[in-house]
Amino acid sequence: MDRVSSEEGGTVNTVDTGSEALLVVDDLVKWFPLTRGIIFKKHIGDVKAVDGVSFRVKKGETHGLVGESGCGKSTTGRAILRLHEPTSGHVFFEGRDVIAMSKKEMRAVRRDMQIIFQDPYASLNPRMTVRDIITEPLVIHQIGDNKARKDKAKELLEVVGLNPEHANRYPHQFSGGQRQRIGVARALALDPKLIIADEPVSALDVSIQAQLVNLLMDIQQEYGIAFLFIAHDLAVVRHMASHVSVMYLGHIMETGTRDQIYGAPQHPYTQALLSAVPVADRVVERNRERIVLEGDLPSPAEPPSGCVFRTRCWKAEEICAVETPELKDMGGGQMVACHFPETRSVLTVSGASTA
Amino acid sequence: MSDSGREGPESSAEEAYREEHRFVDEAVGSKMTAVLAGDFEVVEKEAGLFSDAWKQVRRRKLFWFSAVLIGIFTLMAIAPALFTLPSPATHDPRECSLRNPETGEFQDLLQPSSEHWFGTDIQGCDYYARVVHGARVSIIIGIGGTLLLSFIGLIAGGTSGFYGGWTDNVISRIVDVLYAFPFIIAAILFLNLVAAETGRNAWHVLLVIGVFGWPTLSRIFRGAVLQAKEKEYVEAARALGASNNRILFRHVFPNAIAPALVFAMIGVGGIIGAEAALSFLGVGLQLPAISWGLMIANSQDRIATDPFLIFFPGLFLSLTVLGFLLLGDVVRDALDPRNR
Repeated sequence: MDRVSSEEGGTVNTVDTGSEALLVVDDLVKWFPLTRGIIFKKHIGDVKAVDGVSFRVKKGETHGLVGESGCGKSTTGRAILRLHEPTSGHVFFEGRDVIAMSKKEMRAVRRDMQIIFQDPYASLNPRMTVRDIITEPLVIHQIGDNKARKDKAKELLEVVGLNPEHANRYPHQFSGGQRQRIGVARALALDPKLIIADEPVSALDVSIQAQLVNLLMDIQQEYGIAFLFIAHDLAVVRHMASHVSVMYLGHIMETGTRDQIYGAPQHPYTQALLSAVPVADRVVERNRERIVLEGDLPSPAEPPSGCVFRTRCWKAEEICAVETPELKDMGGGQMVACHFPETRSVLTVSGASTA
Repeated sequence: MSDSGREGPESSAEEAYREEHRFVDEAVGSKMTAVLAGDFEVVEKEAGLFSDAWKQVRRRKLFWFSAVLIGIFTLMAIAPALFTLPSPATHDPRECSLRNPETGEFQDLLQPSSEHWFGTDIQGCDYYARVVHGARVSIIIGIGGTLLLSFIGLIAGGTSGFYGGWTDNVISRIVDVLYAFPFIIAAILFLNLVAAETGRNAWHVLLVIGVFGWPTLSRIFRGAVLQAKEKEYVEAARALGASNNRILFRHVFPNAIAPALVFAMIGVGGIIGAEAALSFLGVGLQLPAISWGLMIANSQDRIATDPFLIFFPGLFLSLTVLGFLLLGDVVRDALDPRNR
């Protein structure tokens, strides 16, 4: 169904994605070179942060990208926007390969793809007023005059639930949750079609997390924006995402709809992740079965051969070290990269459901 | 919505405010709204790091003390006549005669008196007038030299830090070489070369200070730029499609300038001292220029007999340097970023 026509030298690759897929990530790779030496640097290896990641995001839906710290999900998000230049691979946005674009073409596409950052304290310039921060995208892309921008800033502040009269204030006068809202307002300024939310709630209080997630869902419903929701909190992702990809050490382990992943996970890593989610019910928590992984996270500079998860997997056999499992469709669109996939319901019915 | 539990005439206004700013309430908590309810702020005043800093700075006594000091000496540099006017002696520091034209007596090395407030020097010049006129050179070289070295240092450090790569490599190695060279020796070498033909003036000294003084500032600024460059708001600006220029001037520069600014302000004091040192060593300004350093140099032999010859220029020099140091100190405290 998908045909890739690629040409070198400036022209954009295209792919027939079908009517719904807004973003198609195809075998994205980002390696960070390791060098030795001060003036004359010698290349001695690579940190393979993202090593062949593929998934799709449909228009208007939320795709969750989960995994533990250091698995490469943030790097994936940034690589899609070319904040890190990918080492190889394709990112098709509305059918056009973003990676192959020139800077000029990319600039136009940036209007449709935006990002919300994790740290509400570092992602806003402390020397700019809130209004300046929110209208900066309009200034960069030369949209509207001063008055129009002021109005837009006011409107955006209202959309995210902040007092428009505070537009003259500076970020340090707001709380963390409010600053994240400012970040959301900034991302909305250009009316994007896709927002990459890089752990947007990880740095917030739990009660504020809920508010922000609700805000994002309201915005999604109102404006039809697709989200790539990168997080390590599985409970939050379950609330918002319709599809989920599970990442480990730069590779996608499993992809599926929310119910498939949470209800019938087939990859051992997914199962281990889910079993680690604490359950609020004390009795259930004490009595349920926990999967505890052995060993430590391998270094992404020297990932294990074959399946990268094999060093911690209880099912590992010889074939796992020899042959890297590909993502295979196990039915209903659930893709698993494992030689021994097996459905195992890890979450109990009463526990781990988010209200 | 209607809060019948609260009494008092302001409750309805409070309610109206609450209703209107419900989002603030939700996000921040009713405590904040209660505080705000008593104060209906419609027009928000600006409050950036610099204006916040100014508010904090102007409250400190030390700031006003140093500002007054600097003000006095700057005024002295601009209009020395203002200060020599009240003195009964001559206003011209160069009008010197060994013999008093009226009485015919020798008037060299007179002690401070009501006639000559700071006494007279070996040529019979009124010392007070000389000391007052000496301020000009110090202030010009102090501020001018700082401006020059800041200009070079900011460009070098900024380019080096922001663009990185080979540019950074090359500039940093130049900085290392200049930095390793002791300032005084470099200044002496250079100034000696110049002296031979034309005679040195304040501009030569200013140039030397600017050219040899910038490495430290550039290193400080480069460090701050490197830090600011890695911040997420810079990444956010890139994600929005901002050009390199915009990022450099709008995001990196304002956030990296603080340590360099403080260093420069404190440095003015050091530069004034450096000029005095160079003149003292005989490689700075030469006679008939009037400089505190020169006056101190020429008074070395007479410390025992006429200590006032060193005391007054030394006092003025110290106070000027002190003023700038204190100001830099106060500004540094005020610009200290407060992470909330």
